[in-house]
Amino acid sequence: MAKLLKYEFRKSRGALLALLVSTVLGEVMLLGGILFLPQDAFLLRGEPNLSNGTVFLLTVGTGILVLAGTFGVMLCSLLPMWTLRRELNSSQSCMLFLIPERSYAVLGAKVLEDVVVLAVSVLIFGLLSVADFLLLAWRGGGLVQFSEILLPQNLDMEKVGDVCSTLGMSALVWLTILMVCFFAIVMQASLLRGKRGSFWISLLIVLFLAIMILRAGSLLPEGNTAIKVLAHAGIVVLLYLLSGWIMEKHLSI
Amino acid sequence: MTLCTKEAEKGYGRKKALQGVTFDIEPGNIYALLGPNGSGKTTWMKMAAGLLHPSAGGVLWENHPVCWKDRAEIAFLPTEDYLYGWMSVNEVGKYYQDFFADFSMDRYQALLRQMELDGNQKVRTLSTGMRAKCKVAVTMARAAKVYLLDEPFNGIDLLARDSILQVILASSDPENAIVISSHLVEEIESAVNRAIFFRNGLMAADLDIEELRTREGKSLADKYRELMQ
Repeated sequence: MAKLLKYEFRKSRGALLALLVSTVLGEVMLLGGILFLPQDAFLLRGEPNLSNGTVFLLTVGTGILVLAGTFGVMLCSLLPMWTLRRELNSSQSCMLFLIPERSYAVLGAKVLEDVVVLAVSVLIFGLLSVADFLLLAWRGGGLVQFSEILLPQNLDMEKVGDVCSTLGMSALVWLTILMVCFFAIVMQASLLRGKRGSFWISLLIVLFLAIMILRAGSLLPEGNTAIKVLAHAGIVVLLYLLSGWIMEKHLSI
Repeated sequence: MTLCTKEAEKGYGRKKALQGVTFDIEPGNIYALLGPNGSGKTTWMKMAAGLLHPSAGGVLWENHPVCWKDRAEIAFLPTEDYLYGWMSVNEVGKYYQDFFADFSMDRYQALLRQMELDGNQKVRTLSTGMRAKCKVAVTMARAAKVYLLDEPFNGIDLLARDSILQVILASSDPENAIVISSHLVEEIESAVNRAIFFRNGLMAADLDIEELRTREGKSLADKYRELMQ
């Protein structure tokens, strides 16, 4: 599995590199903007006197980071799925399936790549946003005032927990949707192969399952995050096993 | 070890690509798999490589239906352009080394030198002939029990063909079997000792070439014409 995962990352290298470069570019611009920010700019009365260059760096840097952290990560997590679709419908499927590995491992490497991309992205962008926020607060408003906000007695832990659980759940829901897409691609390449309208049927499968999963999610009791996490993890595992089984038993290259 | 095909069938809708084919591939032999386009050669090879599920019957290896594990012992060279274009020729070898315990990087490098291939060149920049050589080199650098070579001479010139044939012949030993599917009947006649003929998804004949020459006084090409007309 580790070797398969290595090659999956190699296939996505270009896109991941583009995401990394965009993130670094956005971060450098934002840091430049923060450095050029007048000391205590946010503590002064009235509008802070910022130069056009500083405003440009802060705005564009933040914009790039927000886009990279949302659409960039989403696009990169779509890549393994796109690669699987291309490989199953081209001669390159031989390269993937002539090796002595189970279909579960081949699919597992692609799903795992998604899990790693999502987990690392949440971690990196989470840490970057905290670091940038702290730097911005230190430069523009004073670290002492900012750190007071973070003191346990001033901090609304419930809200912090809500933010963390929302982020985690969003990543899990996205992973569930990706797994539905993997399932539909496997269906299209195996059970629906050669049938007229197989693409549209698989698209309908994606939409139907995604709607059902989201509806079922809304029926779960509010506030019980553990049940939601378990439900989504269960769906991901179930769809993975089902897709792997279909590949093993019905996929012909 | 024998690769046994027993009543193998494969259908695509109403079309039957293979119909009840039965024969054995035994070690120590080089087989020619002959037949016109659409006769079922590639379908059988993919079935024997565990890439295609039979509709009925099947291919057995060590008395069990061929499955993913057997790809460790059965080497398959697809006719398609299957190598990743983003890999270099050396990386193709590394890929095989990562997944096949019987792959020898030293042998691969020797074969690359023999076929005058640059290991640093990207696959997408290789010509058709160079790609064919690369595919053959990486497949024959394995010490497999069975080699299934699907149209290894497709679209390549005479000299490249000679070079590939030399490499294939050098890999033959009493412990392995080599199956070559090809349209170039006359060119592979001197290299093979058995021939299996496919026609319209059916096996038309399984012959020993020496016997064919001595008993019937016919060449492989003569027999091909006789069976396919």
